[in-house]
Amino acid sequence: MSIRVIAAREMAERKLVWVAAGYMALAGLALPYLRGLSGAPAADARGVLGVALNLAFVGTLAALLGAAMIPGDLASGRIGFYLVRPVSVAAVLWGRLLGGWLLAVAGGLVVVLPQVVLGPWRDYRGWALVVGCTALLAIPVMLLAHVLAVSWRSRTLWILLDLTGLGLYGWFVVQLLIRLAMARAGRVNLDAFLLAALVLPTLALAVAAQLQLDQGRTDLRRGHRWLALSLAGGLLVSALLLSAPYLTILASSRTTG
Amino acid sequence: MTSIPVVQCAGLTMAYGRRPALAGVSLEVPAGAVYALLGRNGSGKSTLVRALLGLARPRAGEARLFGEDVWRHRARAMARVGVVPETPDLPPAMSAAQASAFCGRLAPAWDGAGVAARLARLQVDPAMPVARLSRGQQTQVALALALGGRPELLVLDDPTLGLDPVARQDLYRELLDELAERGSTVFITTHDLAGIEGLADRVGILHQGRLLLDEPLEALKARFRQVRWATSGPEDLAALGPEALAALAPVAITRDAFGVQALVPGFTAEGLAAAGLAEASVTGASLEEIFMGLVNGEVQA
Repeated sequence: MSIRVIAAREMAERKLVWVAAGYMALAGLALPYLRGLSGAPAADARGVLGVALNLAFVGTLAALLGAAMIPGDLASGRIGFYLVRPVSVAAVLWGRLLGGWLLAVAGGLVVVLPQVVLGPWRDYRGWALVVGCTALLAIPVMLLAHVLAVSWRSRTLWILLDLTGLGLYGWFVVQLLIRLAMARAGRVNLDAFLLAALVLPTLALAVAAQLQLDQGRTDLRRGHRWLALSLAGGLLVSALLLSAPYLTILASSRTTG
Repeated sequence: MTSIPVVQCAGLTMAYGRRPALAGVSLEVPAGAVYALLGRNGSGKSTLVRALLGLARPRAGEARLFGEDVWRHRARAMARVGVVPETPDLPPAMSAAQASAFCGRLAPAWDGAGVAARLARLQVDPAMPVARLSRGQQTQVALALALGGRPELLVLDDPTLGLDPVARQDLYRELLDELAERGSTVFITTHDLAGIEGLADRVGILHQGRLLLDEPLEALKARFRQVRWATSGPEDLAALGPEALAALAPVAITRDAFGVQALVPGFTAEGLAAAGLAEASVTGASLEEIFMGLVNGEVQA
């Protein structure tokens, strides 16, 4: 209940997003014609532009809102407005993030809607997939922006742990992917590996964000300490879980070798 | 049966990094009392309020509201508390009416009509975004919202900061009306010593993170006296001697062109005679004089 109320308020406060989305939708319709295209090439260009604009709009808005909503209020002291209400810390955090996410996704829908209705690609399932994937990708983008903004605004050296952890995790996933691609021989589903490589750190980011606000509340530095330690732990667990298929392959090749 | 104090701090210790902010503060506020916490800037008042509202975790000790550890049970406690923060923290794009509707959906009991009536009385436009209201009006909106939940406890953190005299008077009038109507408990931190004197029934003085004093206002004013005597020069004060100073036991001594003034707690005529100051004039001390003497006073031998 509280999450819904807080999310609704977050959406109602940012009416300009709808205006921006409307302009983007119009730009998506008009741009191919401004480039001198017409007929089928223009229609195809509109379709491609619709996908690109949706991705850009949702991604940018998710990053901006993730970085601004709670980290901004923590830095300015306005988070107290929510925390002196009879609602849980989780409701404040997830209500606001949910509101921002819904806004980004709904804005993205407005951006592609003219292309879906008027465009040449009447493949509604395809459009649903585009919008759905963008919406799902917006979740880690928003959480990452939130975590990095908290990390930056707290002005503590824990930021080094955050950046090192995230950098190492990215490097580790790439290395693992290369090795799995070379060694898999049909034994590992790389799509599932990539999905897990995205979902696991997203969960780590979510846990870190929850602990940061729950244990820090208005104390940004204390919260950041919790965030940094939990994120490092979460990324380490994610890396260990992801390395399981590769270790299994190594073990079986040793057995067979 | 003893009733549980509404506010309870026991050995409350807080720090920002290595910098201590509160050192073992203990105090209690019974139901229905108006407790004024006084202190200079940076004395730890707002830190104590943050701990009381479950917004910051104590390093040691505990803060309790209605008998419950507020850090653990913040959300439950906040259903019974109204808060006016030191710096207005309403979302800038929100209007007072929207803020009232929002808070009403989160609070278990909400007096929306009362908030609207209060805003009208305070001449605040309920449709104006908060960012376009003056600082004083933002505080008035915060007060209206704090009272909207019909709180059992009202916590005000330096609410008169930056208010003009009229807005300050309006705020106190609203508080008095609330007290007369509902008898809520009030915990207020302030610099406005003159304003709070007619409202508080108990005061605490916080200085450099330590609670110097915590007692009923009337008892405090009855205990302290200003003792004044004329001197011809600094040598007269030096001539007073350590025994006389010990007999007088002042907490602060100030000198001006006309003489010496000492703030004396636990005043007795015998002490005055023992100090050789039987001819000195003795007057009552205002809360401001007591506060200034305690936090700013210097006793010179």
